[in-house]
Amino acid sequence: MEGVFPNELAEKVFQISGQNVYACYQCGKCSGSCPFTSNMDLLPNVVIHKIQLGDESVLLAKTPWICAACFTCSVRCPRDVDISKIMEALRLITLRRGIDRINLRKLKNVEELPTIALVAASRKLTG
Amino acid sequence: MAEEQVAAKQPKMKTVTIYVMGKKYEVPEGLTILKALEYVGYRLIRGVGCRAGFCGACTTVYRLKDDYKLYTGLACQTTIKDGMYLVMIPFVPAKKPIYDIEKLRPEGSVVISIFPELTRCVSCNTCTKSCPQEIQVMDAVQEILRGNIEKAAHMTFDCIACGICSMRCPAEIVHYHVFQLVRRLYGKYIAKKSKHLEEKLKALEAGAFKEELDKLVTGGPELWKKLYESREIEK
Amino acid sequence: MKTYGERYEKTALAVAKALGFEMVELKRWNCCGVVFGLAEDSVFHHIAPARNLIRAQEFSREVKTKNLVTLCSMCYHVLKRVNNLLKEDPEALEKLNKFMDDEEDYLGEINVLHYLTVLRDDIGFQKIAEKVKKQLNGVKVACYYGCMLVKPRDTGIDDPEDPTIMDDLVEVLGGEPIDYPFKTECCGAYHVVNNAEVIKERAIKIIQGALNREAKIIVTTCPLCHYNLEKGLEMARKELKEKVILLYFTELLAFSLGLENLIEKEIVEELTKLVRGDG
Repeated sequence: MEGVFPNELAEKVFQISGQNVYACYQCGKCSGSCPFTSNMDLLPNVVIHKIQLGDESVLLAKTPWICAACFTCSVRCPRDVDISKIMEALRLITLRRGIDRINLRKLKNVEELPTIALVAASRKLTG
Repeated sequence: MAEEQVAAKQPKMKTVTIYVMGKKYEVPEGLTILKALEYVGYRLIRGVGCRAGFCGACTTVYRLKDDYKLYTGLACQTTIKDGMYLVMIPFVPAKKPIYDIEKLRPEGSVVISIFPELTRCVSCNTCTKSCPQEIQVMDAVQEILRGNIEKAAHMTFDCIACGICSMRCPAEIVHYHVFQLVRRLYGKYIAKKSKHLEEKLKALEAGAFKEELDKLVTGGPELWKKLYESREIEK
Repeated sequence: MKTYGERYEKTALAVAKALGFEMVELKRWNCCGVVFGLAEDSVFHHIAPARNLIRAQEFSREVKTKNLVTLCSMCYHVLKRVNNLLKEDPEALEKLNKFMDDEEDYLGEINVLHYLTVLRDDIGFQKIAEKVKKQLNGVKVACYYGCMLVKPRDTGIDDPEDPTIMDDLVEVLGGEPIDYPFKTECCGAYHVVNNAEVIKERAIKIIQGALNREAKIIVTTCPLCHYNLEKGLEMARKELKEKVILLYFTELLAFSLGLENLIEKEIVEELTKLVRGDG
């Protein structure tokens, strides 16, 4: 689907996630279902809209990093858009540039945390 | 005449082509990388050590003819091959971690708290494939994640800290530092204590061998020579 | 399972034995990675779970079964999704097989199952009912499913909006499974590492939802959910005033089947009190 997307960001997101953001018709069901919206700066459906418009400031938003990949949005989307994959694509664009979200060596209470939590955080928040 | 006969009798030396940092050389086949480097004129003052495969100093990274793979090995233990394209890695950077062994517990969570990057391991196995000592490096890392300090200590006993695994690791783990901590924890907290060693040390501190030791220390070279030559092992 | 989740593994193995099915630990397994790599242009994060599937394949020849059973929801999710991917996408399979040239090729024949589906489909809840030694006497239990066990639809073991598999099991043990609004809502997962406030908020929502319906016990299938709810309980002592016991479902099963020696004494005491009616 090269050259089909009107902007580079949407194209990049498609390459990584396999999801076409233009299938989204902004019903807002994802934002309504997401358990973490109170910690986000942009609602999930707003993030999708910004990708549709090619607004790269979305890469600087907190939202993709607050997303816990719980798949609630993906399961409920009436257009079968996998929003979790889109969030992962946004995270990966930054991580693949060598910019980690957390510094593992600077974490507090590492000793108390179970390995399962640390591995999950390493996978999602470091590149 | 005699010269020609001698020349005819000597077999022509078989050579292979190797490339050191991009420069081409012809060297006799059968040499180790280390010997080949010195043959072509390199004088090695770093990246060389015991020359016996045990100190981990002579890490080398190379490629072979018509082969896309990146190989690693110890220069003193690896024979050169025709078309070998090599470079020496005299040191793999990793700052020594500072910890107080007295304050640690022999648990996985402790090792992970000092080296949290261990949780980035994706089980790609690049470390195991690089190891010149044939250690199951990935499995050892996984054992540490599971908290099996004792097993990991045994598995990594042969580690010579050459650093090849750490150079190639995408998770940026410094395996030899991690393994050293694990072996130290094992030795201090898990391994059985040798009672007779402790008793001997106590006796020493109490002065049981003071006379003999004093005699030895003040004896001088003549006495030392005599004692050395009359050891059991020499007879 | 070997450190924080030890209780889960211990009780699961004992329950399996008591119910007559054998579970053998996979040899030389490695960490599955906990989360499924969602990038479609990279198989990098599938290496670890794929390697486990190869281990299962090797081991299947020894133990004569192709069924890989998992306890942890996260492991189930990752292994199941990777397995499905490798079965449906020959390109990904080829890439991974080629990369892992130090292993045999994965042929895609392993079945990934969760312990709960084994109980339901292979053992049968009725059989479990017959072996119950201590009925739960209608104690109210909230089953916390979390995300990974039931989402997305094609890998979930039950309906993502209204799963009932654990509730059915609790009923068979004599307990009263209560319906509450947040039984499949995320515990916060990895946020416990750098954003613990999120965990507190999630725990309050989920646990209060259960407490509002008089739940005395909350059962989970995931060590991460367990840790987060436990941590959340600790952090929210002021907000969550009533007491609730947090268990792995296998511990409740073990208790019911008379295997209390595998559970912490205090928990056994509290469970006994609840069942008697003075909790």
